[in-house]
Amino acid sequence: MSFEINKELVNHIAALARLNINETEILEYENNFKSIVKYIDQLKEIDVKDVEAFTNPLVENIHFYEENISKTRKERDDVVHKSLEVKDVIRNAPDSKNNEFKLQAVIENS
Amino acid sequence: MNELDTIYKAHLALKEKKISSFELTSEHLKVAKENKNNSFVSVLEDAALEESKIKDEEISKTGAKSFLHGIPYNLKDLFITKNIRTTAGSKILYNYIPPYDGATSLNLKKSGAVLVGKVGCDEFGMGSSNENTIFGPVQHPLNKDFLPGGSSGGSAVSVLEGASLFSIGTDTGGSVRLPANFCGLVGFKPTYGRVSRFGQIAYGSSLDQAAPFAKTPLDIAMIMDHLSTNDELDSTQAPIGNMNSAKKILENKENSLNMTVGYDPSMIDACREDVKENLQASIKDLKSKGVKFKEITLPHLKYSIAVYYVIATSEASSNLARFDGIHYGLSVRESADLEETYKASRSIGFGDEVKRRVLLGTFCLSSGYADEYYKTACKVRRLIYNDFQNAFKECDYIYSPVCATTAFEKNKISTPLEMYMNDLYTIPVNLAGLPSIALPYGKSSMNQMPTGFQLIANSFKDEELLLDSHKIFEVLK
Repeated sequence: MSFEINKELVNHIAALARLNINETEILEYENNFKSIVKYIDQLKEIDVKDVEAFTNPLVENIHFYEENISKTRKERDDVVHKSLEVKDVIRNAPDSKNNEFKLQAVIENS
Repeated sequence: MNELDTIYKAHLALKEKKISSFELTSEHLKVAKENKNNSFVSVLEDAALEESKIKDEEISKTGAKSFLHGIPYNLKDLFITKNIRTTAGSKILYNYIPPYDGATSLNLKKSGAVLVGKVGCDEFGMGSSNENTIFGPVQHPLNKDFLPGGSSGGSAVSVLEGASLFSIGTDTGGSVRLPANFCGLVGFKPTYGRVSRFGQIAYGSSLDQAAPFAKTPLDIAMIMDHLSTNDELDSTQAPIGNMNSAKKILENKENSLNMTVGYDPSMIDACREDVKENLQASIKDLKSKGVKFKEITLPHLKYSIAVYYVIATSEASSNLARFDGIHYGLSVRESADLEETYKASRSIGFGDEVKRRVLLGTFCLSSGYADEYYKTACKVRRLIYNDFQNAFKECDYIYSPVCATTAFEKNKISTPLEMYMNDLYTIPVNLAGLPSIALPYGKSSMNQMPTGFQLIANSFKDEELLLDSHKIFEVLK
């Protein structure tokens, strides 16, 4: 391993993930991470120098089905569809005002 | 009543007016309401009974419009259902009532099937035991000390206990095939892109597929024909139109098992003794029925779990960023600081395993480590995909165990990594985007729990796989 998994790293990752974790959790995740990262480090033994990254199976598999669809398939037409009603969407909001999401002040008054 | 245990039998009985959808739905609702095994999160009694009466009227007027018309079913609580609470098994969505229907819900509404409820699962589909949920673990109907497997445990149990004739789960790394295997049912993961993911709460977007549970491959075909509708709201769905597999199976006259099946004997040898015995017996059985077996090697499959836990957690950390305590779901606002609202809502709203995976994914994608982990995993993923493509040059299908063990007892597995190993045989299929069906075969000599195997096909061979699985299922009966 080229780096050390420690309390500072776990805290840094938690901050990036917008999660609060307490002292007990930090210790637990630190231990979990050590064993999981040690396990996934086996990937480093494989020679992948000339291998291209694989990101989504559909992109790779397009040749399996493209003969079945029109070769000239384009993006769907730019037509305006009816959206959900604002009042239906806002119904699940923890806090709202005048059909808008309400949250704490982002910019303070000067 | 009990003899109408499949969609097809129930469909014929509805058609011949031997039973009504109302009666069929009532019988299944009774089991759902009792909820002996904790499989249901919500039971929709009034709505389902009302719907079933409408279906009866429709069927009496114009006949059954599909095999699913009037058939009671349920959905994993990870599928968005309009005006019906959808929790994903999470505290953060405990009170979430979606304002729209996802593709799965909409397609099944159109089929005429009757939704009896929403069933339990591991939180956001993250787990192999169905223990990671605020609703408590789902019990195995065959033995209360055992777990049904996850993450779609509620789906499997609801079909086995007779609360529904079918259920739709989601399979990201084996979450349908594993519980199907543990419960002696048939579970089918379609080719990636064969069904729409619109309105399926996302875990790993390049791996997730909606996947049905039923008692026979023919029933699975009847469901898949409706789930495979083109959906312009999912750009990762192949726009090739509905499957028509049920009709093909019913009209098929050619019953010979003229096929070559590849298998890697080392995968079978690695299974527990009781599972190994039954796998070997099933191969012998299939050979005696005319199936040709051929040894193959899949050298990179041993890296699957490592690859999966980098890719799936990376995708999860990105997908779950949408839960912010502002737009919907749990909100904890204890300070005037917006950032604190995000943190407090997510920390209290997510369970331990979800947090663990979000943190691991954030780490794998973070600056300095993304090349080392995420990119490397994506490259090894291609090697796994290539292994399968090479194997399919020599065979029609690949035979594999679903799991090295049977269903396991509660609290038996103590570390996250040990739990992740349960998916060793199912994960490679999701990484390569292939279709695979889990079929039951025998019971363990050790604990009497169900065993079985999976058959994997090449991409977009879903119909062929279902037809051949039907033939295999019939001759092995």
